[in-house]
Amino acid sequence: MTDASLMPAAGATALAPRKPNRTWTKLKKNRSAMVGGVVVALFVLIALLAPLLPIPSPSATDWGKIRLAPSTEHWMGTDEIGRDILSRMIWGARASLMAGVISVMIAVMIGVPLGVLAGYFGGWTDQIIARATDALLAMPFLILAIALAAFLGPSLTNAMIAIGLSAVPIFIRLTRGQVLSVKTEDYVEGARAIGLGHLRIMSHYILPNVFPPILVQATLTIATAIIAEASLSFLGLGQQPPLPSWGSMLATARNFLSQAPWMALWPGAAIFMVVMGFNLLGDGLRDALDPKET
Amino acid sequence: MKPTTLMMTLLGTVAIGSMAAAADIRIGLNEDPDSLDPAQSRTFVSSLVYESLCDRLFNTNTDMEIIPELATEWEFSEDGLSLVIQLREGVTHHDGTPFNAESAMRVLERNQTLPTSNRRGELSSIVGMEATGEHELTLTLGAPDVTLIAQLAHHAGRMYSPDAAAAADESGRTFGANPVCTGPFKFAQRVEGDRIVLERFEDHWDAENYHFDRVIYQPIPDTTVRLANVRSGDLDISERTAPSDVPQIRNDDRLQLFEVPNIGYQGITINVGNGPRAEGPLGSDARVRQALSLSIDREALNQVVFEGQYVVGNQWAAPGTTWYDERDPVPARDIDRARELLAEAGVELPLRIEMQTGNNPVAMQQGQVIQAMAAEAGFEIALRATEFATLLSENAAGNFDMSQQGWSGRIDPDANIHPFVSCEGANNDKKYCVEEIDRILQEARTVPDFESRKALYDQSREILSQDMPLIYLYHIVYFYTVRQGIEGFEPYADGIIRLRGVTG
Repeated sequence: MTDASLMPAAGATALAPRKPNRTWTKLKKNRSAMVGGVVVALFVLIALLAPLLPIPSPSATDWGKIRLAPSTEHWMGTDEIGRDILSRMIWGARASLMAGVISVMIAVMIGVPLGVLAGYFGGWTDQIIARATDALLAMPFLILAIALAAFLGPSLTNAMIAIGLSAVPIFIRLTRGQVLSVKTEDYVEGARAIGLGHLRIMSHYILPNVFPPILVQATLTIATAIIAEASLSFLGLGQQPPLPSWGSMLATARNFLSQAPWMALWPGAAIFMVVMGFNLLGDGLRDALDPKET
Repeated sequence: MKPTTLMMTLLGTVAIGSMAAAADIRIGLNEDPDSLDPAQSRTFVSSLVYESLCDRLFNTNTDMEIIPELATEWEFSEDGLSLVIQLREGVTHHDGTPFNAESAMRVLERNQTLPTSNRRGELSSIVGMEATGEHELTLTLGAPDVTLIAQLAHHAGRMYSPDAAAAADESGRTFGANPVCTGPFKFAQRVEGDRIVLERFEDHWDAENYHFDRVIYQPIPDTTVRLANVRSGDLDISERTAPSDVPQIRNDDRLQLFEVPNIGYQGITINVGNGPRAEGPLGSDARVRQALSLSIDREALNQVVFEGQYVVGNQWAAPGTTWYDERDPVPARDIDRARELLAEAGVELPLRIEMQTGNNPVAMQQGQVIQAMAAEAGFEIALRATEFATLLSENAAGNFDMSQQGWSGRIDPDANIHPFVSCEGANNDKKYCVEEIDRILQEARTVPDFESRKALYDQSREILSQDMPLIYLYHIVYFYTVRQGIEGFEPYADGIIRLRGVTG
């Protein structure tokens, strides 16, 4: 994905109208990527439609229906305080996907500009940014996210910020590497020769040409971020009760594994599927955006 | 090494390994205890550790009657102002120093005077102490105190080496980090949050009745994990098994289940006077607290979270027990009345409040049930789960609106109410302070006659159920899961695990 030889070709054709079609065609042919895409699309659709679906409130309790097995009335059963699990799964999908997408957006919006600055200017700017990145990368992603989330205080928003910030170094390093190879290209030299400003060169000549690998990385990081959100919620640092999140549902379900296994089954399966979906899609995108592969 | 030698060595190692394992007993705790300094402890789990570590002057039998331990005989004077205690002879502390009237006196003095002591209120009636013999201790009281023996049968009467404590205090070390006591096992190691290891004390006066080389206490807050550890044989005894696991344990041949109703209570403590967080509607208006209490369906809570195995309540004493005031039965849920009260109080709804809770799954589940019930009356409760020792220290600092907690209970009623609602009470983190209550409770300490004493507690109950600084919810039944093969275990209503006579 960080293959430097990708860049000259991508650079030369970056703005040509033919390319998106070619990527799309390649992506369409990739069966596993399409499966991933469909799974992701399905979850996104369910999450978006949550308020419109005819399901009970995810926080509505019924003391008479504790830990009921799946039935026609409650398709996925009920949980430890009599809430409908299907409804909690659907609303939980919102939390998971939002956490995945928003935290990656945070990471991209901070990481990519810093990476471009570091790669483009080099020198002291690069030294400071790159060393700070190294320092952050020395800490395992999840540990960093847990520490940040604990520091910010438990809430879904803070969990997203924590995950986003923890993923920043990945994007800085990736972008910086890409920029380093792109900035020596003839067309960048050309832009500089005709007297364009740094800002314009960075935004119009460099950024578009480092974009494909970032897109791939972002897709794959969404998967990681979803797992991170589930982990934080599992530890009580993410979504706060009574609002549902797959991670916190799993945390509760663990106490009833032998009495009510379905409580753990659904959130576990959902996390697995959505993460696999994003991974397949990301892999497919990488292949599709790689000009070397036909 | 020849193959045979190697085999022999390996076999030898295995044999020694299993011998060592056989002489250990592992006990799973629901929380990590706080300080292991008997002067400072305020958690229930610490008493579980102390029972093996530090003997007490008095103990209790399964009927919760006082029995001798380090004190062999005791007698109050006619006027109730002096208590003479005969102490057991031939007892040594773990550091080899002898236990006698002098050392016991120094321990009680330290419990009374140490600035960080939580025992001061419990021992406040003692105004003078004297070693009237090598093993005779005479206590002089400022006023008759019918609670004293019961206090000395708990933390306040746990005997430790005064020399070791003084040395630690003087050098600024924490005595609780390396306690030196009198019990059948001595302190070996503590890894916070992981384990407390005690080793057999050969010179204990009752050593023949203790059959393990080491006792290992492991705090495992997750009830399922704790149970799984007993199933797999990694724990021998687990305290406070979740009621939802009880039916399964009954059907499991590998496990034994013991149960006993607890003498304490569980509920919600509300910050009514500790710092700025007491100034909201909840802390400043009793009607809001009454509304919260009325919004909770105690029976449903018991059914949902505890499979109906516990006893619902509304006072510190459980319904049907000696000290319960029958004139004030457990209230039914009344959402309309709760809304009315909130309207009378002029509170803007929803009223946002934060409830601190332990970070174990049962506490979280209970918190969510209360959250859902109270929401119908107009409360918007945010749950904040913290580990138990943090919860206590945050409460002490006034950093809470309300907190979900309870009290393991003591045999004398005074200890179940006085520390929580008297102005200077050691456990009064909510800083509830009403002169009338102080007066009544103080008087109750001096009245030996049951009827008149009960009348006083009933009187205090009337004020407390109006002011409601504490919402009592239910009374626990202690369930213990014990590995098959452990013999001689008996459950006690105070929840404390006694290892005397236990084998395995």
